[in-house]
Amino acid sequence: MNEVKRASRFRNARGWLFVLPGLLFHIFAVAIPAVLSLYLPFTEWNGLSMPKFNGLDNFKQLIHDSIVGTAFLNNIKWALFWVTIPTIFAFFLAYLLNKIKRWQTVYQSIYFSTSIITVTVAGQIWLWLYNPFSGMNFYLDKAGVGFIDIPGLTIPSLSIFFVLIADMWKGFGGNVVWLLAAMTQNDKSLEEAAKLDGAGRFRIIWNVILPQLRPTLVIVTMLTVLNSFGAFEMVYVMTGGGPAHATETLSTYYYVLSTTGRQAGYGSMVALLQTFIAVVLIGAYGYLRKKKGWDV
Amino acid sequence: MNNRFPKLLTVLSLSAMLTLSACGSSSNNNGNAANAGGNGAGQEEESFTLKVPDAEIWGEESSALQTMYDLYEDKHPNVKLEQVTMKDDQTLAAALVSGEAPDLMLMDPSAAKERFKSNYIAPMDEYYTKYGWDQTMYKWAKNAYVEDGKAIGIPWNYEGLIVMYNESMFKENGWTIPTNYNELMALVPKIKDKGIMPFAWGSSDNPGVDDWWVTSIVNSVLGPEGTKQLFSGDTKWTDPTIVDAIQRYSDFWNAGYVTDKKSYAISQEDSMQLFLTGKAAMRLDGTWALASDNEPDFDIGFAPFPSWKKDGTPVIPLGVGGGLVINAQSEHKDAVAELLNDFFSPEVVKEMAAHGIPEPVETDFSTMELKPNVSKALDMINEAAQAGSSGYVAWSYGPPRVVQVLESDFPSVYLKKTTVQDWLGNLQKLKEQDVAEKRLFDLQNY
Repeated sequence: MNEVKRASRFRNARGWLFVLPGLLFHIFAVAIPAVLSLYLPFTEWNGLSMPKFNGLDNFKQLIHDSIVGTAFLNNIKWALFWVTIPTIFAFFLAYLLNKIKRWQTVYQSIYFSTSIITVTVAGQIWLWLYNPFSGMNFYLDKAGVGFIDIPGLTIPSLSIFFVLIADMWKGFGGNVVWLLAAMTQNDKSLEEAAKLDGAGRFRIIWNVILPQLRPTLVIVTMLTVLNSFGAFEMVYVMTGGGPAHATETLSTYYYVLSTTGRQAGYGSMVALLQTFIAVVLIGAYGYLRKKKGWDV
Repeated sequence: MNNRFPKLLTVLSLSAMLTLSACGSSSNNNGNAANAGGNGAGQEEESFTLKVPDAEIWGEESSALQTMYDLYEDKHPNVKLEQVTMKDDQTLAAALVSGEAPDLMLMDPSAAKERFKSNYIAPMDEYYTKYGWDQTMYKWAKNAYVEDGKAIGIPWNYEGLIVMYNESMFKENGWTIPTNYNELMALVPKIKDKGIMPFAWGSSDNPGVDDWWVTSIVNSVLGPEGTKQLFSGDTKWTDPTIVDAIQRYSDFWNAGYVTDKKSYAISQEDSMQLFLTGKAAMRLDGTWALASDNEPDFDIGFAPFPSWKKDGTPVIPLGVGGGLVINAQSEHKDAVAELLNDFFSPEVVKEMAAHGIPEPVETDFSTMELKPNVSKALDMINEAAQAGSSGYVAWSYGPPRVVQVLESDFPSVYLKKTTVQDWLGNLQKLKEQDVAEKRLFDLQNY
């Protein structure tokens, strides 16, 4: 009996030995920083020296900081844009690609190609296009259609949408691939049956294709919204959050605060707000998945 | 299987111990090498490696570092210089905290001071004494790297803000470069009437550059002494002189004299193209841009930024662009100091000047073969410095919190998102926070 117990303990210890490297890595690289990130928002910290606990001072500053409000609204705009125009666009492109029998991979690669361009290059391309003196407007003018004026980044209140267009150009190919992959798994016999019953193309899309894609669409939408609240790269490259914070997002704001601003403690508070938003969204998704049957 | 496992574990443990002890020996060797490095020339050096900044970090502009490395390696064949790329200050901060930062680092003065307080930067007084670096170094430049009375780095260069203008265009039209606000306001409508932008400017890719305008304006309305008082003394950002000056800039911008009211919609590089293609007459720029190989089909002239006083005289804001500091955790501090000594060799001094970022040491530029543009601008700055009409750039001397807003939020003023009074009132509050935290540049160190 003792022999059996000893062998069992040895097996357990051996299991722990195998797990130990990964566990230690997780504790030091994930768990401890995660716990610290809950402490840092309540400190005054320049990013280098030892953080000093300052209670709710950063939270009070957050409440009164109008730039946080602007950045939050921009993140909302970013999310609303991404879950509508690029997703609908990606859906119809995926639908068309699914109908093409020849060269499908070639077209798919073309649409996906913009996704592999680095953000820095993509941002610079769009800065050139939007340049009011030598970009699209210049050539429209040359072509005799100067009455078409693309504002680009010249109207601060619209700048965020033109940065979004650049971001959509770079990123929507990923959604096309996701949705196309899901469409290829659809049950084709349902479409055939609907056709035989006399359903039109849009009726088939609405009542046959979309319901089958719902799990994928839910995931794509969820990831898109979460990514939207982390929007950073394209904004940072094209406008740096300007002019006058018109394109500021929570991520660009806390990045600047934590680096050049040397207010890493307060920056962490802004980051904590972003995390809180993500948790709420994930919670809402979990609720809908369980209660409303949005199961994947 | 179970019988074999303990044996396997024993073998693995022994291997791990041997590997670790080998690493330990290696560290010890490095430690000895450090001492050898510190013993100076004349003794046979053991081999070791110094981690130093990548000489290509800013392209041509930082190529003088390579010259310094080459000189050192010629004299110390056993020392390997490993160039490390730190793509931004955030990366360097992470490397410092994790103990992986290079032995020698490039760092701006305010970051160096914060890090010295946190014991990441080594004091350098003994090396200043040993090598006599400050015998020819400008005191104001050295002082940028003085904290608590200790030298903590060597200033890498000095840089200034100047106006570059299309000299050919000015000659053809009989215009003269303005020296003050009244002359500027008399000239800019004439330039605009010709369908040319008075100033090319772009900040979409880097909103921080808008700070250059504020720096140039406050220096010229307050003068060098007044600017010192604004950055480090009792002068308030809400001083009526500053309110009036910033309001006049807002009006100037809104009159379309700066990139046709679209400066925030194009990048710095694109604004340079506007200037180089003759679509703009002038451009505010820094001395670091002097050596760029732009070859427009017109002559480029350089002038101080016009005084923003109505009938004042210009002031050229100067500052230290960055500096070289020694990692406090380095095991080879003496060797790094010896490497730094080569920074003051004639070859490196010449190379720095050739790129428009001269070292802050007394230098006779007339004996150097510099590009005409570089010569013109350096002569102009030297004259201004000798005449006492050089000022102070905000990014070297301004209160850190204030500088962060100058570098991110100046468009709020000219886009009228806020009033000039409110915006400057906020700067004053931030300055007071910096005063409370003792983060101001010491008045004694200007």
